Amino acid sequence: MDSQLNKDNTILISPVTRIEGHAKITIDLNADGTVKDARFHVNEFRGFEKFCEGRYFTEMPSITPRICGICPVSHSVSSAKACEMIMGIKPTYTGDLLRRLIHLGQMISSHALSFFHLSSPDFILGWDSDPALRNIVGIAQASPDLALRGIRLRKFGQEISERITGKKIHIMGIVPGGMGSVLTEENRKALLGWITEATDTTLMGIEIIKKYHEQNKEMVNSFANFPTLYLGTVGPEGEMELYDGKLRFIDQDGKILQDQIDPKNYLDYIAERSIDWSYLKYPYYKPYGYGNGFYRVGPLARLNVASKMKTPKAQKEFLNFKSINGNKPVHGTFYFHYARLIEMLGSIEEAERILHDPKITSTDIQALGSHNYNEGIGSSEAPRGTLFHHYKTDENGKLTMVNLLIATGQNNPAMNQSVFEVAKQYVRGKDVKEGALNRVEAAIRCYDPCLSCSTHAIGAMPMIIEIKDHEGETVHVLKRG
Amino acid sequence: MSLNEDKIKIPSKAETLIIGIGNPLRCDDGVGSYIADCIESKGLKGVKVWVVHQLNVEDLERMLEYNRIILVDAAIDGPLLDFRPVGKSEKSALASSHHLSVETLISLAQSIYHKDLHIHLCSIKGSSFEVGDKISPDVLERAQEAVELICCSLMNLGVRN
Repeated sequence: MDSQLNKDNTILISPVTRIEGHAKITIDLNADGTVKDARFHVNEFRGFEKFCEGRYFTEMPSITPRICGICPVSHSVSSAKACEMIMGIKPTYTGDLLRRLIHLGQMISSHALSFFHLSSPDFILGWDSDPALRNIVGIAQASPDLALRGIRLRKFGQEISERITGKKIHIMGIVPGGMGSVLTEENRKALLGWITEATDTTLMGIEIIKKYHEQNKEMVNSFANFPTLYLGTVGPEGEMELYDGKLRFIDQDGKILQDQIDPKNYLDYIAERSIDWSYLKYPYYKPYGYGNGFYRVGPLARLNVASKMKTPKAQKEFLNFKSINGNKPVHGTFYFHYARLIEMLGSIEEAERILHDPKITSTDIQALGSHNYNEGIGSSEAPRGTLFHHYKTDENGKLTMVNLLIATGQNNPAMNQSVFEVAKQYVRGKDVKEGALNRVEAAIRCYDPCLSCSTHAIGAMPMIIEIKDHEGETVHVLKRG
Repeated sequence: MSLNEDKIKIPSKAETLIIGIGNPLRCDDGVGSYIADCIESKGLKGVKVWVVHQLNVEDLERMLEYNRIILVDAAIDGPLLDFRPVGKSEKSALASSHHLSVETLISLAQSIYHKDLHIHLCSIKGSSFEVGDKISPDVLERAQEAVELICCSLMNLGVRN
């Protein structure tokens, strides 16, 4: 991480480290050295929505996994669901089950990466430790067994994809109507062989984070703790759902604002606004309007909105999570890590249940159909939060409109608020230490943003970022990294 | 609770692994996979070929199955064509899973698995990394030289068709 103090009292951290993608943070100081403002800038630009226009709609489940190497399954699943709406078909039982299994594998793989590789170095090695070793290399030196477990847990998640589709990253094989590849009995048994180790490793991670919470209560509770609304997917009884379900919004006190909303109606509840200093848009809960309607998605949000978990071990931890704030939403951003581990535990349990389903090795994996409607919307919970794919086609099935509402985009307002809150807490004046800046970055890492997929506000953004003072005057211009 | 060593026992295949790294849809970045494909087409005994977009830490276990590894990758800077052994690095500027250096992989293999990775890196300087599937003509020429260089190196080690 490079940081510099500009002449205009602006601290620039660029690039933000240990997140997927590249970004920049600016911190504006008052004359007395206190933090006036802090912002999280996204510098990447992809434009998938535009260049997918004109493609035949059934190509999308194969194109969209290329958006991201961390959450390709969620893109492919949401895309296939949108295509199925256009075709007017449903996937077969086994096709749907296989997709659910691969989706869980991705959740495990992504969450393991986030916790063991990218975030745990901060609280295992120390916020102020040598930044050159504050990573998986440092963990490998300090705790080789933990590093090995983290690597293998991620490998397990990827192996689920690989044993079904033949690929562990940018997977192919998820198709409208189900799947294009089967799970063999040999591969089913091989995946079941991982369950005990994966469960043990996740429980080890939970113990680490709970111990850290216990020993650092004040820090954990004060770390970017601010109220927002929350959005997540739930099942019919309010249980946390990752692959398929209905939407639930809650307010900052836990009151259910909307429940069992069909994701196809997402535009009735979510609006977006472009802002002039980032490629990420600012989504908000439409009924409350811009400014009052900021909400969060992802692990913390999913556990906040859910009434229960689907599996016993995860349910036990869920009850502990709910007790943190007396059954009201947990707003502390640091609790994203705990929520992520609980989700990973539930994902492993559910994967085991699916692997024991006798129909998981069936070859009835795909329903067939053709172009019947001109619009389709698909949704799933990506590791970082709720994901929507929305397509419109012409009469020949060629795409005329593609809208991708990505989790990291939905967390954008909250990430900015988090950076501001932590900067206010840890940055004092010009003599700022690297460890303090690392804490500011860590606020972003809690959300585990995957920026490459969420930057798609084509044509709306300037190519230069301007830094403005409290009166709105431009005081510095940053070149994009 | 430590992981049972038997569970993660790594079989030794006593083979050479060639890993072509890069994105074939970013012009010269695809030279690694191009070279890997060329070598695979020669059908050398005991030589396994992978093509990957990037090196991932979870690939370590499978890499440890091989006695020697040759990584082939496009380079932005440096010599036009380079072929050299790589050593470990005690520190890493690891920023995300998208950025894992060869030196870091070697260090991790020692820290976690207590094993040495014997890696050579063949780098080919590219000139265009824009979107596209065409490798620049001068880079293609160097790619042919790299194929010869790697094959000669393997034959010196006793690898035959």
